[in-house]
Amino acid sequence: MHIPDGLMDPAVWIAGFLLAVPILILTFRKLGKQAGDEQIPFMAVLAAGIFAAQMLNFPVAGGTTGHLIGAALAAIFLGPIAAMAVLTVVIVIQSLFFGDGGITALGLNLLNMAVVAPLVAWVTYRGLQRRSGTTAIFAAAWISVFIAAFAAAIELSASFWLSGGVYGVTPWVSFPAMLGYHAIIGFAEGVITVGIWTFVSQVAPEITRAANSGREEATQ
Amino acid sequence: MKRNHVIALLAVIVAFAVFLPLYYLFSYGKNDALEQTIDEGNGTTGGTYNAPLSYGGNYLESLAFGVIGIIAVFGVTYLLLLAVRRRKRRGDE
Repeated sequence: MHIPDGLMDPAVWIAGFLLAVPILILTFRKLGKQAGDEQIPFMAVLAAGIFAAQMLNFPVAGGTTGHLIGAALAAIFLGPIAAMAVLTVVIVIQSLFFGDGGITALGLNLLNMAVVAPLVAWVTYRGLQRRSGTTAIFAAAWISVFIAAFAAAIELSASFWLSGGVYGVTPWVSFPAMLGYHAIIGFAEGVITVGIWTFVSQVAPEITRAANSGREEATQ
Repeated sequence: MKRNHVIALLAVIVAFAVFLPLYYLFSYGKNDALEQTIDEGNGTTGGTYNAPLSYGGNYLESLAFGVIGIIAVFGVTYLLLLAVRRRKRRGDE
């Protein structure tokens, strides 16, 4: 899911920065009001865990692989604002220090994985939470991956269209391929996210309780 | 920072070390979904920026770089959030 350099039309990657950076600046400003001193180490551990999980690609179909995004995991444990901040740190470090995702594409990668994915996960989770906790977590994870992939497909297609085929990928390929592969990756993301939530609720129930109470406060 | 958080960070590193062989067994060298899409659509990539680190090419390298990354992400997130929190407190006073 990490967009590399040289793939996107300059107008598209510049638009990525113009959209993502103001949102993330506001996120960090708002985070200062929300993050408690006790929550900060947990957020750092979760960020480290998401970084580790994103390194571990798993096989999907036809020799293709995918990896966890962790947006739903972060949004459900921390709420949308903190999730966006945590994913921003992960994606910036991956790009600057490990070359995972391009420098010019950093804005788009932040937009897809640190803005769109956690917000979609959060909205989905909040919408379904009262019916079934586990279903809500799974759905939030699946939809966050699918919509982030949809955003990437739009960016690939826009680049193709704006550049006359020099950059990006034709929409006839980008939409079916990105959505098809990520429908499967989203399923794995859902299973892993539910698994981690269940595991944490068993070994450290105070964390899931705090996450639940924190979510209530975040929406008030 | 409490002892629990240090244990949790160590658990992340241990889990990473345990699952990394599965990555090498099933996924290493294979395209991810976006790379596959780029290949199928004959897209091109390329940049001039060379990152100082990589994810490594074998288990030990990946483990070493992974641990560096895990600690770096933990440290940067922790310090950044602490700075954001302190700045907010100063603004409130």
